Amino acid sequence: MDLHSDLHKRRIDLVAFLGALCLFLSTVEYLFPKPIPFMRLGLANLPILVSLKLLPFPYLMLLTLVKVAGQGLINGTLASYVFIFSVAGSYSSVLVMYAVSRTGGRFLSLVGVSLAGSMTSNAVQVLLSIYFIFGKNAVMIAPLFLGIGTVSGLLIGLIAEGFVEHSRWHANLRRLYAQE
Amino acid sequence: MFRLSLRPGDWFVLLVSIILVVFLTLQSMGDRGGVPIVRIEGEDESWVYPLDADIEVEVEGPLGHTHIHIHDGAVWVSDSPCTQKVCIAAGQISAPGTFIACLPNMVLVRIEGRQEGEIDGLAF
Amino acid sequence: MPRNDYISTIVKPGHRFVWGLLLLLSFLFIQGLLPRLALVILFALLARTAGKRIKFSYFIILSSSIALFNLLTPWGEVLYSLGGFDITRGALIAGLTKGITISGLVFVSLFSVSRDLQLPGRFGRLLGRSFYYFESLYSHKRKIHRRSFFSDIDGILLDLFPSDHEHDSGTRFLKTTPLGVMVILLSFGITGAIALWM
Repeated sequence: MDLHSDLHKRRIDLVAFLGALCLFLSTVEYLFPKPIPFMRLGLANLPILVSLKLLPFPYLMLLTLVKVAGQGLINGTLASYVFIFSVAGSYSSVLVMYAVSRTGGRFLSLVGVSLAGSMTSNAVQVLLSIYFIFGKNAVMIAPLFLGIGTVSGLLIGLIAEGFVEHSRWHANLRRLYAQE
Repeated sequence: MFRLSLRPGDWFVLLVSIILVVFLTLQSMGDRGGVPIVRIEGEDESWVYPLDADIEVEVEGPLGHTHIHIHDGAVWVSDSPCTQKVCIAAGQISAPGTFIACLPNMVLVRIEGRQEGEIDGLAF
Repeated sequence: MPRNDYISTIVKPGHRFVWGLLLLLSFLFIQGLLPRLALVILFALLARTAGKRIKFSYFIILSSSIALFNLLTPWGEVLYSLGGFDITRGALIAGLTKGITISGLVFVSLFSVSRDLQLPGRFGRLLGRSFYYFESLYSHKRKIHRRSFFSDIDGILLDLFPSDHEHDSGTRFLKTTPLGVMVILLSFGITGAIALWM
């Protein structure tokens, strides 16, 4: 990875912008009513989904870092367990989403990728919270959160697919950053 | 705006997710038993501990202190101010439904759990 | 965006972060339920002066659910019996302590982490640039209407990226004032008092 090439600089700039978009979408999400305190729709995952085919893997990892660190700073949760859960959930999710999108090829749209990512993220966070915070008795809530994860994963995936299809901005990016 | 045109891979992931959720739901509903508990009843108070605890409990009764041990999945009375010491002679109990009583000192130690009434049917 | 962050006017972001971490250490020395509760209230007040909105209901739900799950494993003297369920003293106290401790940890983070906290190195600069874009996105927020949500967003995105502007990091002048030092010392004093009195 040539750290000084123009392509690298442009990609880094895109990472910065997508990261900002993640933060922006998570503040937008606060405007939606939240029936259950811990679970969010995950709008902040849209920029990652949408850029899975735009950026090489190292940049996706960097984008994830910008997302979690940025959220940690803005919400002020950087120095708490929330941040650790966020890191674990987001990174496991990105790894799975990348793997799934690469192996799925034409048989998979962003819906499946999003579902896989959402389930992974929720599963990891539920396991962590059972182990460290709520204790083993809380295992009964796992299916509830995974069920919510399925629904939100599906919704976000549909939104992502729709966006990629209709967005002029995204079409523009595909042109400018065409990979490989 | 949302046309539901999902590809086969999407359906596959969706199916796996739903199966996982249903499976976990059924699992957590059937698993109500867990670790049996030890209920210690004294004159006016009672205590409850899980059977896998490692603790010594002192219960005060009209005659004095009865000393109860919970360790390694078993419960026994190590010391009691009664004259006959029947409770100590009773040794260790570890099965749900069994109990040790020190009637003079008004102490009752009982193990409770899901398996209590089901000894007849289930094979473990 | 947040309400007035009074602490940012008297303590530098870097010092603030260290301050928070040191206050966190107090949890190691202060164990009991009541002392910790006092400590957590202190932290909540600090988080409030940092302008952070604290939704009371969120933390009540969090603490009580932690306590509730802890009650499922009984321990100790039975305080109350609901149907077949026993509420035991040991489990209740441990659960409540855990619940308020977790809330306290969040409060400390809320007041000690400031938006202007510069993370070191190349990543810190990347994050800075991201925040620059974030601010420009946010300034266009009013253009978004519920109905045409996605086309509005698409329009904004087209306007903003790729951009030809040169980004300036615009460092703000931030300082720790004598008043800030006094507040910091006061917080440690109160913490010490809690540790000794209880």
